[in-house]
Amino acid sequence: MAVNWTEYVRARLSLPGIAPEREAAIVEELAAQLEATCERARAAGRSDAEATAAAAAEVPDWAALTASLGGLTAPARTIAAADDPPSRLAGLGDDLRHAVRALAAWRALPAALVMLTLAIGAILAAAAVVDVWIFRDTGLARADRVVFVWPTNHAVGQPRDVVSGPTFLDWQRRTTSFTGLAAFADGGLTVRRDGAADVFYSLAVTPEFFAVAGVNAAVGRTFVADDVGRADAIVIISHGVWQREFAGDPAVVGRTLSALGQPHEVLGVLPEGFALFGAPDVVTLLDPRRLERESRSFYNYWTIGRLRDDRSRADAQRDLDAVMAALVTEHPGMRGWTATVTGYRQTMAEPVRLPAFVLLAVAMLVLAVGLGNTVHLLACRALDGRRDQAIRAALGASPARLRRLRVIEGALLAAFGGGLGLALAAATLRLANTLVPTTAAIAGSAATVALPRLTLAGSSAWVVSLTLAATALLLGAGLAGRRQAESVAVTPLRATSPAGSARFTVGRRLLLGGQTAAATTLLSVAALLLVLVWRLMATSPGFDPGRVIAMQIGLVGDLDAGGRARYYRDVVQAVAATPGVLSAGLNDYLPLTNEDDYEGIEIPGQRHDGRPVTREEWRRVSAGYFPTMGIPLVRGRLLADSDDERAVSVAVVNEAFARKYWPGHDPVGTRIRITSRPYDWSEVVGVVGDVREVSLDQPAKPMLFVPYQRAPRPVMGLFVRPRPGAEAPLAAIRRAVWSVDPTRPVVDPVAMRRLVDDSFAVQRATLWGAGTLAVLTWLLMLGGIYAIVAVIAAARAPEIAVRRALGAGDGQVLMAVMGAPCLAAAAGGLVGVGGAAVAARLLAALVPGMPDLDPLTTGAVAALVGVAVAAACVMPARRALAVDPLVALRAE
Amino acid sequence: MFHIYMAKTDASTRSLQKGSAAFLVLSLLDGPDRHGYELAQLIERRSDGRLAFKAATLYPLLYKLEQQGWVAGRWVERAGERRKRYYRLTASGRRVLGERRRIWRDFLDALDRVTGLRPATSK
Repeated sequence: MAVNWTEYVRARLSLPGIAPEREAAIVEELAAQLEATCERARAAGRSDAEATAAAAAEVPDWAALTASLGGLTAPARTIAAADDPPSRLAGLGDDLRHAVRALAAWRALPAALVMLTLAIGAILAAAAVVDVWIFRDTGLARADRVVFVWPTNHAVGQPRDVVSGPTFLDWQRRTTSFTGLAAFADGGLTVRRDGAADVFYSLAVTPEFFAVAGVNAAVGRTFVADDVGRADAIVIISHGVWQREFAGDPAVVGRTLSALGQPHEVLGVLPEGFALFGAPDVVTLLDPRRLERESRSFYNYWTIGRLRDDRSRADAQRDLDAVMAALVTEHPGMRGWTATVTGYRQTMAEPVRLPAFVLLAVAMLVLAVGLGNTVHLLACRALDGRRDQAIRAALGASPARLRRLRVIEGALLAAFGGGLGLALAAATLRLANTLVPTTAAIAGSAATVALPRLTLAGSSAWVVSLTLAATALLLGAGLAGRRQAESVAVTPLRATSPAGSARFTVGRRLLLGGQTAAATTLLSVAALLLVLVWRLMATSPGFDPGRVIAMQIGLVGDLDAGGRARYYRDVVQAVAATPGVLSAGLNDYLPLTNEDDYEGIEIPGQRHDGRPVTREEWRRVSAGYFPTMGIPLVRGRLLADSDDERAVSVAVVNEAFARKYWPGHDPVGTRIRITSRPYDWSEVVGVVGDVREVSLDQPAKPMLFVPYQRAPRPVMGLFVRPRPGAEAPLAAIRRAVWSVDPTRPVVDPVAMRRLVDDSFAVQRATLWGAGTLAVLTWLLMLGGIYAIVAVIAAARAPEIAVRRALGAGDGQVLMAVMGAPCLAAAAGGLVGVGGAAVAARLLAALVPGMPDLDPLTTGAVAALVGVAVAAACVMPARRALAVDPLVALRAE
Repeated sequence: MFHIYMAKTDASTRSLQKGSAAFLVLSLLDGPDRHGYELAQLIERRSDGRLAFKAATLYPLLYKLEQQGWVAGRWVERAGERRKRYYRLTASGRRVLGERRRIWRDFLDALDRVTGLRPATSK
């Protein structure tokens, strides 16, 4: 005769003030105790009647018990005090502790944190790159109204040239769209101190410059029109020079800086961090009357303008088009030239805009993959925790309380993931600063912009908002996924192996396919960038950088042509005689530094656009330049030391030049005219190999080389090749230069190898960024697929057990576990290849030299993705194969 | 029935006796989570049957402790068993237990000093 103890208790206990669920729970607990007492008595050998009596004795007075329980007076919710506090905030501490414990006990916590950290870190770092490089503070007032104006002639490969003084003055007088136009040029200024010379990077500007740029002096004032009368005697100094030379003296205005042998009065100090194309040490004033006197074919100045408030950039472009059309009619020598207006901000960001946005796009994909994985992990957590939730709900925890717990857990995850993501982004940017170049060339011009260092400090509001939004999105989606999973079975108390987790749902299918697609696309893009950088690395610049050291010497603006030529000749002889030096040579520019210098050239019997004179790049070099740089002689002879200012004028051309003007013919012996006065008619004596002067991804330009001695520039590049096996004798080279004249400086010695490497530093940095993110995505995909397959395999263990028991072989079991996921991954891979094709086409249109997506790359990426999918499936599959039918079914 | 067999005390220590039932339960929960029946059994066994908690005493007490936030209960299911409600100490329960232990230690020390009674050694 077995007593139903639940009925027994329910018949005797009445708790009207308590919620029915709570009452049921109390009844259940008491009945359990009575039943256990009864069982124990029976096990001790007592009779049924005695055992029942012993159990009944547990509660001798039901009325008293009812009273004592009623004394709790509370409805069910307050009885479960630890589960549900009376006030909204009460119990928050408990919930927090509970959430910490629950998270700490969650096996997938490391995976979830890695996911959040990577996704948030990637998006934050990429956003910071875009912010610093594209949307940085320019230091210019209303920078959106500031524009560059460039002379353009596509026929001679000059999309953004510098302008001549007279043409600039015509622009200034005839245009109506600007509140002002200013010209500026940069250069080196020799500063003498204690008998030695130092060089300052200087900017020479017309009087309107600071008003046009919208920059005020930090101390003192900037230039005004009235200063023109004493243009050679005044200077504005940088913040750095103010600190170094004048110890930050607040009364620096009026003090004297000795530049070019003549004292310059300091008018003011530039704001800290002021930079245009490089950060000048000093700014001097250009006298517009000097520009007036210059030749219209002396292209020397950059131009900036400030748009009138009622004019757009397009208005300014139309304005300049009309002015240029008139100028071309007035000056036939300008035929073929137009002018191009570009926004200041856009132009300065141009070299890095594409890499920055590629990184942001890639980071978005990482975020998407992280998002999918977070949703999946939290949904799995919900499925695991449904029984716990059900019990809590049954004990009277309100849905609001359960929601609050979920939100607290989510907030904790967000805080940890966000914090780690922040640290990851900061570390990534620090590392990135060592990989990205400090300067980048503006394509089509001879201008180079300084790239600000990447940092999270001072991030714009949009970076913070984007990161917070990404974090919120990750958790919101995760919590939504979790909630959906929980909604499957919160009500029934008996929630065992959740049916939902066994299904390869549409969501999982999409998640798995999406991850594979993202990884395939990103890996393909990274592979293409790798091929691009590989090709650039393999591209010969046309010279042998070897261990050649290049530096600038001279600053001999105070000497006449003869004096300069003597100085340079003595320096080359002294350096070439230095122990450890194999050879030395001069070139007025360094290759791969984005400098250009064009000169008018006339070739008898040839006309260009109906005119006898064309423009080509030229370089003034010494005889030792070609052997020092390892530039091969193709035909004729190289220049010799004897080809100096006293000899017959000769020239050497490169192969591109020879191909362009004498296709199929040997130019050696031909006479050409160089419009620069001291050269005039010269005989071509040789053809040398092509050198990629501008960048490795652009073909060599036609180039003319002449002996420097006739018109040496005030600054020349000195190139030195050490003897094989000898230490690079930089100190000895310096001593040799100074043995000729100790007051002349040696500027910026650099290994030619570094110039070659730096010439594709932006591409390399983009490869690093995109490659790292692609590998991350690949790993996230691996982890994500593993999680999905593992959950499915675990949930289907009972089914597999049944199949096993019915005689299913290994193949069938593997098919059951891996079949559908592999199919989804394959579909995702195909979508990814499509995405890669689109991305490749997009990049090919924007990046010079970008390779096409070929079957080899696609095959390699597919193999990589396939390996990851297989690796992700191996463990769950092995577990599925090891399922013991009996164990699995008993667990069920 | 709830019996506590111990020396009669004067009025000043009566309040300590009153709290001793809660003290016992809290002490037993300072370790693994336990369900109600297990608690009753432990009290009986460890006191050699001198202390006995009946259901009528134990559950109102547990619910009261739970309401005070000193213990927290949760239902636990095991294969082939009736589900049981396990109780554990909350952080505030642990603080209260520490406080009670200190009070009882002081009280027993005082008793010992005054009466020459040696504090019972724990089993």
